[in-house]
Amino acid sequence: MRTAIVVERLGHVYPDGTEALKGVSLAIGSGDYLALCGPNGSGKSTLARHLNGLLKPTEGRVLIGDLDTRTRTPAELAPHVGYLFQNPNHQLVAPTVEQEVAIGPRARGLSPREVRNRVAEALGELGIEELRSEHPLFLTLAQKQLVAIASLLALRPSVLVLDEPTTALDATERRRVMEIFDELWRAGRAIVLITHEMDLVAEHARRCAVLADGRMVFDGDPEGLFSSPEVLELASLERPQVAELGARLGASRPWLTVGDALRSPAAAGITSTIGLTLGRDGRETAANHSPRFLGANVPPEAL
Amino acid sequence: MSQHSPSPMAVGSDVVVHLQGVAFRYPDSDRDALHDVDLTIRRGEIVGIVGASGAGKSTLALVISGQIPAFVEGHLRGDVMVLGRSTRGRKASELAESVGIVYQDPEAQLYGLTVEEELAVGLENRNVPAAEIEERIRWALDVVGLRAALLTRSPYDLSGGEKQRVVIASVLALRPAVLVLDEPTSALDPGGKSTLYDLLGRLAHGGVTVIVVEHDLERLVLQANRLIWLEDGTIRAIGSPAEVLGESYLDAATPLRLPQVTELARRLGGPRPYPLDIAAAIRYAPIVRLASR
Amino acid sequence: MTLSSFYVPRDAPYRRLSPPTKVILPLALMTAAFLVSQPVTNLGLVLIVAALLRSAAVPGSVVRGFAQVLLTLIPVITVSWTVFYRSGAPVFNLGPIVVTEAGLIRAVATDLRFTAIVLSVPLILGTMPQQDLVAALRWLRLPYLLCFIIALALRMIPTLERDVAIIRDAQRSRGVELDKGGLVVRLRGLASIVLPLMTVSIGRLEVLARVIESRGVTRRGPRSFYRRPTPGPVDLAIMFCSVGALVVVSIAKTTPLGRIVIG
Repeated sequence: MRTAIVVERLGHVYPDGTEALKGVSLAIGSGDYLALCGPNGSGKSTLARHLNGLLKPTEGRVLIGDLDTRTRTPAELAPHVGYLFQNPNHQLVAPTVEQEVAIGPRARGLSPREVRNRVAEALGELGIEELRSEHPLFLTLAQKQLVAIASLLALRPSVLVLDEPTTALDATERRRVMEIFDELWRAGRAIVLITHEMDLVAEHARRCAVLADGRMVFDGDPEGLFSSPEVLELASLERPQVAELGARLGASRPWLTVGDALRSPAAAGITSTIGLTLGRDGRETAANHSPRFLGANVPPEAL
Repeated sequence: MSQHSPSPMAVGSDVVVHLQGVAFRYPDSDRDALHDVDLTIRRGEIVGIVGASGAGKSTLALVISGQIPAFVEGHLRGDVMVLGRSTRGRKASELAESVGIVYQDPEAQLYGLTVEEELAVGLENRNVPAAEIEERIRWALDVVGLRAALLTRSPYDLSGGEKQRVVIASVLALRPAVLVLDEPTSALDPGGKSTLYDLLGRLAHGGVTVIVVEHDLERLVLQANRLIWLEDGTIRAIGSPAEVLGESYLDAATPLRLPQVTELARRLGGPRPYPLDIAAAIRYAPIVRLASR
Repeated sequence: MTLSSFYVPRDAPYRRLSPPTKVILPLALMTAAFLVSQPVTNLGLVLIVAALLRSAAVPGSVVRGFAQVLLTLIPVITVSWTVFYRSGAPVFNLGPIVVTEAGLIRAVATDLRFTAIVLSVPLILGTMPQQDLVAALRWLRLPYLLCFIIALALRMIPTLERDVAIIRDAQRSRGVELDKGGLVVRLRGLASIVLPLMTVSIGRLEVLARVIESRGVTRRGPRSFYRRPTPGPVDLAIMFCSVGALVVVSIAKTTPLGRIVIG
């Protein structure tokens, strides 16, 4: 795993004097799936905005590959780090999905043929080819979100920063979009997921960075986080309900997810009757895995 | 409107909301957004409306609060009775005194330069005397748990949770007997969600009937007296949370975001009623057995 | 600097006046500057405005901001009057341009008039919070709905500013360059901001319209006034004198002595 982004002793003070980040250091590897957590005001959104150069450090620096964010505009960094905003309506501009996804590649000066390739590639990877000629504003929120993701993918970034992508989605949409992120990760990208939904952290993230009051107070795996009550308290975080349950019942292994809890001998027979499958890496996925997810091998952009 | 006691408007009947044979179709649509909806809600209940995106939850909230047909075009059939009167043909400002609605985005519902203005405008426009306005503002702030010091602040400067509560206070200042909320917790962090649900519990305890559209069920199931599960525009199940969530065994991938303990019980194929929280889960035999391996 | 940042809470003599007074007095001064064209009298008006700004403890940064507007206006005004006004006794020649005495006087007078008018604005916006301004307009019998709309517009400014900031960040993040580039790039960038802004605003306005209607803002009939300003005798005297002075000035302009003093 190469290092994709290095955050070195990052400090950020806003114009009104608020010190949002105090000496935060973090190295994000090219294959990381990192959850970024913390209460409101902890600095997690501030930190996230440094990762693609939207904010410039007041102290320290952020390196994307060997590019210093202070020397590049965020648009120049978009082919390396894609940042997905919470509300897709803040981005949608074009009358068709196709044109919408083409905006980034065109703005970056790619040839018309390459632009067409990138659009097809992005729509294909997400399985939304059939939305190509639709007007983005008439789509559902979940569909708009996919269009926004496609717009980012068209620049082939090797890191994706996802800002609270699941808060307004129902359970089916949420599952679908988290599976997409899993696929995008498996295709070789680093994922940084900003969320306060700890069940998603337990289910998908491999690593968790917790901020409180502008400082990094934890950097480790979700299991480590859920067994550190002081950190949870400090960052006003709660364990997922099933983890809490497992702890109360004194389960022999920690229960991070519902799947974990079910993966005990007594449950094995019943689990297969209902038709759940365990994914390649032991993480559980829902039975109705859509055949449209190609899991295309998009070559990671060389940094 | 001259009430001096801080309790909400009390009207004789125990049934506050009654829908009979209700159906609604948006203009230019080829199918009904709601059909065959019959329901009765009583004073002081907390009722949750749950279901997949597009199932008609927001539409139902708009119908109950009278926003359909007061603002929203379309073809509404059936009877919608709130506090014994039909919502048809009534003006929005008059409806607001019976049933208030709080939408998802606080930013779209705040119009005042100060929190005080937010709360006072509705009362000023009803010619409520200044002394009474003052009292009602104080009451509304108190109910939602905001400090009086916030009165002179701009609503824009407040946190998401505080904004949401200012909107609720503004709606409550008109003393509706029914409060409808459409996905009030989407933009809130876990602390904000808990605060909001505590507030809804207090309101119901004080006699206000609360109807909440929600897709994250973890806290709702603990507060709601009943849930209405909507699917494709009609009621799939209605009953206590335990009863309704018990129905969810039918689909492997249900669109409801169940509390994890409920999901666990469902996947174990254990007996219904499924536990809705940790306290119930630790007494639920199949889960206890799981832990002892 | 946004409209909301002109006001900084401070205690000062002028600020203790009632909001309607703090609207009428500056408006009267602005109108007087309009009516008066004699430079010396105009200078007097500018000095009055300056004295009131001082007495109101309006922050220097705010006044400087408005002064910068003047710095762009004054050269244009001065040059226009001196170059294009031909009647009267010539003072000197600049090639084909003849500068006359009357032209110079008019230039100075107009500069001073604009100064008085522009500097009267912070005297209104910087001496009370926005909600007091709106209450003053309502007290002055401006129609309720109009007052509400003004308040709503003021309230929406920070929201729109934040929307624009988020939209710009979202567009940058997907590769649209907003931080450098020539005219074409900049124009394209502008389009990528305007359309989402409209989408987001229109959606919000639809909900807002319902909320406003539900609160009864469009009702006809009597309404109460929760924070009605209560001007005292000094306030009423000042307002009366301000309006009275304008009447006097208007009438005086028709007399020979008036024409000398007022112009």
